[in-house]
Amino acid sequence: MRKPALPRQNGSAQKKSLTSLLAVVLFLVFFILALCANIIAPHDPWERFDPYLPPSAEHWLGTNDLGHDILSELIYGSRVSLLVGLGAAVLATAIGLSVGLFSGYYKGVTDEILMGITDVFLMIPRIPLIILLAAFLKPSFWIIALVIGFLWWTSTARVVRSKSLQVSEMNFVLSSKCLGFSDMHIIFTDIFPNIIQIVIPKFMLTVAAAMITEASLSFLGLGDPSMKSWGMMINFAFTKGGLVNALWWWFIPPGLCITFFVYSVVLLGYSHEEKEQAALGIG
Amino acid sequence: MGTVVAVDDVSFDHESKETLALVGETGCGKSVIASSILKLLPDNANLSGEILYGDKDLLRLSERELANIRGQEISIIFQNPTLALNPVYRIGDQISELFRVHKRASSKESKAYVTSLLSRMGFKDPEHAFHMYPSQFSEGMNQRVLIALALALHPKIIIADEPTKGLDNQLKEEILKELMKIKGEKESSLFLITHDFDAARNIADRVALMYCGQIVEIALSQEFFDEPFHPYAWGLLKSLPLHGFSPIPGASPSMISPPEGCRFHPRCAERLEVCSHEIPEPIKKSGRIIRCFLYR
Repeated sequence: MRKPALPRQNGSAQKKSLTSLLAVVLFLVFFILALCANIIAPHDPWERFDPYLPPSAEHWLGTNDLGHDILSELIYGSRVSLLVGLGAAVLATAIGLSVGLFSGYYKGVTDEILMGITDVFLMIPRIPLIILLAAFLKPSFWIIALVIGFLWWTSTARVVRSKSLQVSEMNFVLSSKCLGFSDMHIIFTDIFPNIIQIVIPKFMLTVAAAMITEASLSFLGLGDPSMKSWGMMINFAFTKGGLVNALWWWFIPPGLCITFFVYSVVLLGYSHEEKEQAALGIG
Repeated sequence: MGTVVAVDDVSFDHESKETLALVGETGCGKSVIASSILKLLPDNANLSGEILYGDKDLLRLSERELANIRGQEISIIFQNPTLALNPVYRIGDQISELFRVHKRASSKESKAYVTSLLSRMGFKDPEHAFHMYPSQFSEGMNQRVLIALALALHPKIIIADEPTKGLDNQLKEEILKELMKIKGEKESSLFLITHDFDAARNIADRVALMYCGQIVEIALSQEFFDEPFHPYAWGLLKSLPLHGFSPIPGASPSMISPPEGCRFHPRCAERLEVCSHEIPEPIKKSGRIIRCFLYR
């Protein structure tokens, strides 16, 4: 069968596809930067040069108070920031997805209990709790990622639950039941693929939230000092006089990196949603 | 909120290898019977009585035991085929999933099996059909896929809830023929739910006639269509185009507050004094089961 002809794209659709292309490019740039940091970075981020050098041909973004090359720090920092963001989001989405799927499919008591737990987690003031935990525990970026993951799953669970409530009432779920498939099989092979399109944008937004949280924590000095993330770099610039002396090459680039990466992730999420809506003929 | 007694005091046997047709008008409770056999009704439905399959009471089995019976021992073909297929999987994958999960077949084995099954269901190019999504098929094609799904594991009992709904006449005949052929080969029995008298007459061994949640007559198909006993059946046969299109007077009663006495008495031309206040019990009469005071 031939593929159905696509309707002609109008101006706004083209603009939309342009922004989503931009988002993909930005995301890929950061991803490659993090993946190949050791190849791309001109220096080892812990190698010492003269401190407080302004940008030059040798050090494009100058050096910091300890003489570390800032550009190399920035490139290596993308690893930490992306890892925290993606790790936390994977954990949060996994928890939210399972809670939502089970309570939407089983309904009744299971639903009451799981949604009760979700309510409790929704009530926790998240940032203050993380600050508290980071202050008391040994600051390590794994712990930060874990804690963010354990706190940011609630809205995913809610969205997944309402959608899986809807999908589990559809006839093909009943017909799968009639063919003798187990509940687990039905949940993961029948219902899950039908809600994936709402999980993907949710995942992207969680990545963005986790990265911003990590940056704020690091800026407050509660980050992992041995792992230089973008947030940590701003914190160092702040505490070691970079801001006061207007050494813009020290604190502007990490801020821009955070902004652009979060922007690309959010745009990706939205463009996915828009594609879904276009496919359904709405929006 | 009111309670709907969708099915009331229904009792029937289904012999092995037999084709039993359950006929009745829309909304009389036919599909409810089908769903309750496999316990597929929603949680707020109340079921009482027993459904014996061999020596097992299906109503008392656990969900896990039922899962082993569903599909492998008793399978069901639903109405609304397009809704009964998962929109995100290819047709072939949905059918071969059955073999992979229940029979632990390899994907190659199951693919060969599925293509042969699809070609038996009248798909001229089964390889091609294998790779299609339900949304790319017509209602009739999906109906055939659904029948293939229900027959795939050779169940002992096939429950078919209006399997030929939405198909054109020629396809209807082919599908029924194929259904009967597979049924004969695998020695399964067929429980056909339909409001299509022709289909029932052509393939059923016995016919059960339902009215307003009750079975009013069970008889051999031949005898039933030659000479029905129940006044409702007379009315129905008279309303067929073949016999002059004359409808039964009155409308189908509400299931929330069915008429007292015999449920058909307000529309019955032969009603007696007792019909309006006493409920007729099913009785045996010359090899049939009939629920009517005329035969007491």
